[in-house]
Amino acid sequence: MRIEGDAALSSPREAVFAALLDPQALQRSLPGCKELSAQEDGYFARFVIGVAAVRGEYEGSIRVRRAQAPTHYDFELQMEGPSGFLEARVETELAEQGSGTRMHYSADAEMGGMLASMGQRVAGGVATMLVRQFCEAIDREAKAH
Amino acid sequence: MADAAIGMPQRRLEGGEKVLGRMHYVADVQLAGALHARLVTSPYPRARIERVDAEAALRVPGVLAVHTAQDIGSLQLLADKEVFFAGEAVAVVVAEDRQAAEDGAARVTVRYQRLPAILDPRAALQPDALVARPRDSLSDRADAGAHGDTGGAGRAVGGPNVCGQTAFSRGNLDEGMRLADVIVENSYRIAAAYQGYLEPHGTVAAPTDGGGVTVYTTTQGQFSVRRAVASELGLPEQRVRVVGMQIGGGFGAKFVKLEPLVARLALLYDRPVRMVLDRGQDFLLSTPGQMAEIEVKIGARQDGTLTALWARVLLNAGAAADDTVGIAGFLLAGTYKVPHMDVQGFEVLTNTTPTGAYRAPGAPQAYFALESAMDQLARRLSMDPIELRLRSAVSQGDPQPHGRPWPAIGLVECLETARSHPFWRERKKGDDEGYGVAAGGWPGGTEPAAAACRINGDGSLTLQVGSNDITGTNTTFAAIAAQVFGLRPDEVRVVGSDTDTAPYSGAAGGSKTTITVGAAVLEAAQDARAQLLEAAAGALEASAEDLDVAEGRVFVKGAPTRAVAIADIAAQSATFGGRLPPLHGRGRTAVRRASPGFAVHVARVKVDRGTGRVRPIGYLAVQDVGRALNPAMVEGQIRGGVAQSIGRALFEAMRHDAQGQLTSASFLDYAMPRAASVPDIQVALVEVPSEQGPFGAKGVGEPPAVPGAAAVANAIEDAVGARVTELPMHPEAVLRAIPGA
Repeated sequence: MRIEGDAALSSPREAVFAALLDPQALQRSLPGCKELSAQEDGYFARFVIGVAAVRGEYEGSIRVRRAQAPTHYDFELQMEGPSGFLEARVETELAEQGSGTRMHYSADAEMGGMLASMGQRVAGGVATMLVRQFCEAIDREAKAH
Repeated sequence: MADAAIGMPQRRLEGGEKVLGRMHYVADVQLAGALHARLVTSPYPRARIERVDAEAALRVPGVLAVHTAQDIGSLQLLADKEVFFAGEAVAVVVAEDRQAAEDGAARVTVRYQRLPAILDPRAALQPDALVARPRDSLSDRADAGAHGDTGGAGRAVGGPNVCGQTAFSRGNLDEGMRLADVIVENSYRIAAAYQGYLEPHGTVAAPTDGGGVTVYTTTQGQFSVRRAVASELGLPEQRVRVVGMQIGGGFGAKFVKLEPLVARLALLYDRPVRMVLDRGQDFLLSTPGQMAEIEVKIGARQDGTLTALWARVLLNAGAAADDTVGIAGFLLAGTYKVPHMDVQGFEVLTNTTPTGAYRAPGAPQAYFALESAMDQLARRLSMDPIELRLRSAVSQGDPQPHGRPWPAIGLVECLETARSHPFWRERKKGDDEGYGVAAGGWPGGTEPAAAACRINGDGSLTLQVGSNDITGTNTTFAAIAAQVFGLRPDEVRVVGSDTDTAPYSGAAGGSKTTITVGAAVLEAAQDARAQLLEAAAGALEASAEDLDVAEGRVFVKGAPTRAVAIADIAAQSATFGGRLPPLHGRGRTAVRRASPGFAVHVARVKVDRGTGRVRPIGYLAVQDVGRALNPAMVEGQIRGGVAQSIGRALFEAMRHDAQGQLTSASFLDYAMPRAASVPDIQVALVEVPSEQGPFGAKGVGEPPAVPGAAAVANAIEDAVGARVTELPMHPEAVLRAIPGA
């Protein structure tokens, strides 16, 4: 599954980038994220997410592949839980847009288990919603920075 | 013998109980102290199991243990070291209650090393293809009984994933194509289809004294289950008692599934154990009908005479040792008389959901291709589609693909009946409406069977059989015995007992129960009748040959007042100091030749040109049933088959994503036909008697599920000129095919 899009953020680019590097701000912004702690190359993370009838707890790693201030923040996500697994390679690119920021994101995601068997039909819609929630939240965090 | 019962519509013996919700299914079996078992399944289509971590699961209150193939064996269910499809069971959690088992299963962490999977059947066919699974990882499955007798001649071809192949040829194909005035050629894709039964798989097992086990299960073949459990557990069959419960639909999917594992756990814990799948797991672990790719090329002269037939079949077996392609090839090659023919088929293993038997395995796929092509040929020749088929349809004595002659079959009679039926003769076409014809058949299966018929001390009759009644066969057995004794069928009690006490019977599949078990029932009833007449002969001072039975009395032919009540004779066979041996008839049969059944369906559809949506608005199903022993039930079978055909034609598809994940594991994602999608169905029965079946009956279960998809496809072309070559025919596929749309 590939997800790609743009989000307009009202905060300046440097502030958005700083929020992305702040583990607490990041955890508050990631929908369903219950735990985020630093580990080598990135973070250990735990999520509770519901997709269609499949609600589950997932845990795994977020490995930062590229953090190039203030334009690029790319990472790999590997999450696993009783309802299945989710893996994604996410690339973001930040550009100035007026006094705010335009975030371009793209992700290749793969899922398995019940999450895929019963949730795939709506996964695209759920992912888009989660990304929108994340962008709104990180924008708020950036303003507070 | 007057027809007292045979040929009269009878209500299903157990119908009232079902309608009132009083029937007991396996999930209703409550045994004191039962443990609950829950499977942990793999999210990956191909992976090595590195470690199963049960620690967190064992912390759940009530969880007793987590087992894998490493400690209890694979038992035809648990993966051993590697998984070969997403959804394969890798562990089983045993707990004191269902909630604990589910919570425990959710906490089992399995570490996998992911391995590359092969998903596409065409890629899997290549000689240098990635191996989907090693041969020694395949276990034999016990559902061969559903397969028809086709005697396909295989042709040895390499390829590490080929698990089945077939080839039939006749004449010289090139010559046949040269002789043709018109050639049509097309390729067809048919989606895998889930059986869609109401009741998911479930098994309850309990240990018995002396190290044996009793298995309550939902199955089409309790003796198949007994064999599998005994073999997996290393027990003699006499120590395994299988109780085939009322079945909430099987359609080929319910032979052996959970039973060896659950029985093993019951012995291990010395307590009853139950496992009932939820729908999601049932989808993952079911064995759907195969996805198929079929190419067909047919040549004919201007007058409609077929000159050549070429076909190539590729079935995706998934991760199972399936071999259904022989049936598909046989039916493609065997339905029409054609002098030059070359039909080949392959079935390949892939890392997708394992497939198996689904009502007439291989046949709906084969006939969707063949009958779509025949319809296109009729259009090219500007011929009536029924006339074209009649010109070449096989009948008794014509060679089957393997050379032996067809027995008594009614394909021609079905076509003629359809042609003269008002539904076809007086067809009325509104805007964007069309009619489509298709034929289809099923070779039929055989298996030995025995039955017993007891005349009780009060003169009442009890039949004892070992077949699992999936379609109302017990009601038919009652009618057979009633016929022999001149009774009403509801006066005969049919007892379907467990494997400890029932006479042997094969699995209910392959459209063979009535012609095999039914034949044993007929023999048992005749045996009991002969014993009765012999016993009555003395009392009536007549020879047994001069006696007849009706309405509870034995009487002298031609002198009906010289009579004695059956009860008076029977009483002497079941009482202290009685003078007669018990009246106990036995029937044993090993029917060797199958009774193939053919059907012709005509669908009427209306197509929405704007959306591509297809609505069936009328239907005629014609079928040769040999002899309709119980016309009500035969018609019911036919209506159900039509509904399933419409499902496969328009809605149903087991789909996997590019990574091998099944994406249709719920009824939200897997669309079944609903009452509103199935039109009024007219049924016309044709009776070309079988040489084997009781009273000339043939198997009727599978043929009605065969021609429907092609009939709908042909009706769509008739309505809007769209030739759809892919099942299911979703609106977008129909829309793409509408010329100029």
